[in-house]
Amino acid sequence: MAAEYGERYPDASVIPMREYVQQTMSYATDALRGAAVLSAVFGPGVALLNTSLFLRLVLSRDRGKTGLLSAVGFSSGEIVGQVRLKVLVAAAAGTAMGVVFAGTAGESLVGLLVASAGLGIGELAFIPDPLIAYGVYPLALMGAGLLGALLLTAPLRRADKSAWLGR
Amino acid sequence: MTGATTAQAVTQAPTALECRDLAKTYYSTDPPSEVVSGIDLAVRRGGFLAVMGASGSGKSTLLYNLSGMDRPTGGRALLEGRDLTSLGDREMSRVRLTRVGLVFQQASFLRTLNVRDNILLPALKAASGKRQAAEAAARGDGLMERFGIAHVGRHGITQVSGGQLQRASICRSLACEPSVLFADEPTGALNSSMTKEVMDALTDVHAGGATIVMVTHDPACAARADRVVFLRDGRLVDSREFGAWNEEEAGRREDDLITWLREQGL
Ligand SMILES: Nc1ncnc2c1ncn2[C@@H]1O[C@H](COP(=O)(O)OP(=O)(O)OP(=O)(O)O)[C@@H](O)[C@H]1O
Ligand SMILES: [Mg+2]
Repeated sequence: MAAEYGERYPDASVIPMREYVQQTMSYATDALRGAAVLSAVFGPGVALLNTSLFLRLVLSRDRGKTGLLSAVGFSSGEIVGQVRLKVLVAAAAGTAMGVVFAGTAGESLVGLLVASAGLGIGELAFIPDPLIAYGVYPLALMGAGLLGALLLTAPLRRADKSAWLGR
Repeated sequence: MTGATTAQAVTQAPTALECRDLAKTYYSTDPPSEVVSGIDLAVRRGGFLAVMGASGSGKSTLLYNLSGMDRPTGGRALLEGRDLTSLGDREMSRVRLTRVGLVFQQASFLRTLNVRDNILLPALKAASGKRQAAEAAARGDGLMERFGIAHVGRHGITQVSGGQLQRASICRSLACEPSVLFADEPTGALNSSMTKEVMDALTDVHAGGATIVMVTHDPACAARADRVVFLRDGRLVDSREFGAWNEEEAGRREDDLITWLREQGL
């Protein structure tokens, strides 16, 4: 279509809309894409760090309880399994909330930020790849959380049980 | 039965607990610290052993390595002839659940459960099927009755006294009918009247045929045992034998122990 117009109006330079957006807005879309990729890469890292810190806190708070449960006959496998399940549930809930938030309020919020940044963009629409936004990425976030739990709870299996009794 | 014949019966009974050349070294310290070593010990079924020694001499460490809580780094620990050092994590936890009862200085309970549910927790975990669960519950209720805490069964664990709580620990440790009851300073956090409550309970348990290993600093508590061993720097250095416990002899035995402990440098 653009080519047709180009023939009819040889004085004007006619380019397709997509290309026009690319040319005029590329500084903004590129920046946004860069930010998205960057946060996609750091997201799981932050999730891993967060879970680890949180879990460290929970584990030291529950130390006495862990000692008690193992003294009365729960195996390290059972105790560690329970901790990991808890982390998985928490990570899944957190991720689900994040996905819902990004899908609803996220767009207008980022739009507002971009608009207030004075880039000349009044309105912004995300065009997410549903497979990535609602499948692969949430799984990656949860996986990062679970990885943190695995790493932190692995030494518990080998530890002496009395170490948890706080003697 | 007189004291002498009970003592004889205990000597002839089969071994409940045994360790040979037991050692525990902590490698987390630099340099590694060998906390107990070269421990040879046997406790007959129905025996009541008290472990004494200065602070840091390794009493708790010995107890935990005999009871399937921790893993010895040397030697062997046998419970009813079964070598604990060869067991995996799951088998060890099964031993703690069904063959061993543990009582600690600080009675430890789940805050979210009432006293009775705390007592029944391991017994219900061990039970397979409704009938066994009902039996376990009946056994737990019987124990609570026996040790005078049946009336606080529905109380939260913060609503009962330290002595009651420690008797609840004893009920919990006995609910699975263990072959040995281990107690680490069970009266260490109690006043003298609660101490007597708890020691009367343990003496009663022993009189019922249970095997007990108890760590204590208190000569009056150790006097309840039929044998007392002394630990110094992680080694067994001396021991003392008594007949069965009886109230009249209590004072004399305690004095005897105090003299003995003084000889040991305590
Ligand atoms: N997990 C551990 N890592 C390193 N050292 C330890 C550990 N547990 C205990 N120890 C050390 O082992 C020694 C013996 O400790 P243990 O608790 O067995 O003594 P105890 O005789 O029970 O003392 P107390 O009468 O104070 O209870 C102590 O010096 C203690 O610091
Ligand atoms: Mg101790």
